[in-house]
Amino acid sequence: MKRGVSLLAPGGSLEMAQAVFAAGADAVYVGARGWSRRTAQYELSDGEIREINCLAQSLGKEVRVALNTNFSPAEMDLFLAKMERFSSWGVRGLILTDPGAMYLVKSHYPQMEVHVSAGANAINVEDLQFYKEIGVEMVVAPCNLTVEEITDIKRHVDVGVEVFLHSNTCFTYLGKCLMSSYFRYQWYWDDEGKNHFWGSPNRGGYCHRVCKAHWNLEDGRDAHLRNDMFLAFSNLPYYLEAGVDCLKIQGREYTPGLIGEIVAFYRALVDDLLHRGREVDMTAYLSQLHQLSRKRDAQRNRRTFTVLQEVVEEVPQGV
Amino acid sequence: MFELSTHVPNLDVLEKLDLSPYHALYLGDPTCPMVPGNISSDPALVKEALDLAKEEGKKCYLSLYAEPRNRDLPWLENLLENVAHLPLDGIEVHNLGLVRMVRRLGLSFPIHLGVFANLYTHETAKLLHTMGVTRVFPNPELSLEEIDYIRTHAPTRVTLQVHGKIPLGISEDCFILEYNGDRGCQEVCFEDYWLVSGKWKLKNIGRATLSGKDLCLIEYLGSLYWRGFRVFYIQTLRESLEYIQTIGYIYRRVLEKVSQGIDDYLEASDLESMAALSPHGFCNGYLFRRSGHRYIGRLFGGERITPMEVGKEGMER
Repeated sequence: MKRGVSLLAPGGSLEMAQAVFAAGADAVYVGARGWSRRTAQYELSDGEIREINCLAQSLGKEVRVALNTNFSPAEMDLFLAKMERFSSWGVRGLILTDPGAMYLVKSHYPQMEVHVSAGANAINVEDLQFYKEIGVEMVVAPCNLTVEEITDIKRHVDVGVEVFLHSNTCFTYLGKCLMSSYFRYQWYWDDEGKNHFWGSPNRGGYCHRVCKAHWNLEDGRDAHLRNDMFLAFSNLPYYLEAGVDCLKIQGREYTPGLIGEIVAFYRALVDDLLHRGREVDMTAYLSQLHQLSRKRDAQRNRRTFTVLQEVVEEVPQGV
Repeated sequence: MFELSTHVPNLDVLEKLDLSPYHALYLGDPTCPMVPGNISSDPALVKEALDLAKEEGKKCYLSLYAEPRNRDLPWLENLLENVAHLPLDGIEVHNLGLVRMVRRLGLSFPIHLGVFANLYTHETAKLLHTMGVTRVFPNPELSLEEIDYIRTHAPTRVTLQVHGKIPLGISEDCFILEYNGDRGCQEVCFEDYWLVSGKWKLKNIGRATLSGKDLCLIEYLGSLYWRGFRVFYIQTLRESLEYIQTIGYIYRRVLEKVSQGIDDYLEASDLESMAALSPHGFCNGYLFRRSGHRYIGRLFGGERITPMEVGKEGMER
């Protein structure tokens, strides 16, 4: 069982970053404002990123900055300027989706680690080989992959693999859905000249979650477009045995208090598994997980209602 | 001068279809290998389809499964090895791992990057060009200026969808089978499945979800052509033969006129035929920086934002 596995937690704010470090996270991921797969509200300014990077360094922990939207080709210079700034501040980890951007970063800033975002949807051994060959250090595996697939990948590709512990699945493969922006999509530029592409989860991180609307088939039957909570709880021992390198908790949009609780829960469970392996009684953790999941679901449902309502109001007659 | 292409999923469609409007065919349905008779799931079908299409003088590109998992890699590798000697004009790949596989096998076919590959930047197009990719189909969410930016800043050619439902997503599981558990692929795959929420509509074809409306760029073909676009594509998966042929003929005729410098290329009868084939209406996707479902233009009751106004905004803020 791998001992070097790290626990990665969300940093949707300075407060959340501090909370997850205190709860035992080894690393935190933060979104550069306008560039990550979340809305600006849960992203950080460059100054805040610098502050968290300093904090992490002082604690011997890591920061990964997500610039994992599919940004505009015309924004490539803006992207590279951002890289120059982050590099000069000693930022070491990046989460990216665009292969061309990854290649540019590795060419210009070889000291920076590139992690392939789950939004890139790397789903097979050849995909991971592809990314390995353009120089990346880590690939985030989408939730869809089974333990067997993850094990196969670890066996055949010499690249880091990150898996989700606590996340949500999408109706489509992650990064392959345009349903939200089909119904509502707005271009909006911030003061730095970055387009936030409201309504596009891939380009701006703002998803209206139209899959969560009430859908029917034409014959009247209810149609459930799956977008459910993903918990890798029962897979966790197998992930560790497969040698995964990083365990990720998603949730920049939740409250720092809840995320702190979730991180503390997984910290205890992972440490227990690393220490005692299969002897751990997983059922002892299960009731605590259910409580946390209920709290998380309640927060997510409130958010879903808000973002879905926006598109319903915008297109009241439907299309 | 220009190329007009579409996908042909199986031999049944290929045999019944009048291929005249199309210069090139993407053989196979990339959304699911289980589509009955899917040409790109069986080397023998590829050979048979090639024989038929080449006899008609068509260019043929093999369209590989878009979302291969580890379990799919052995059969895809076997397929590629078995078609290596065939006179294919290219291979359409939607998955970066398969770009690598085509190279690893030493195949010399030009690679076309398909729509599900999520190409958003010229830098990715440039990178992939070094790996044998000669043509890219940018993500539909890009605006016209962004697609043109890729076209003019990367050595690859760019495919532009000019008509048909927009691919809005691709899933792991078959939605149709999920709702028809007691019936098999053979029976249900080609039935129509519309997802309805109030007046919103989306079309589901199994693993892929398409727009309810048909993207239509007929009134912009002149400006697109003179901007420099030459590779045009009509999305026809799960459409009727009448749709594939009628729409193909209209666009072929219009493009011929456009390429001869004829400005007045729209005919009322063509517009009526198109409208009859698209009962849920038209959109022009994301090309004009708007939500994908909207139609910007003077036809089909569209919103009046002129291309000139859009052009003035340029790429910059």
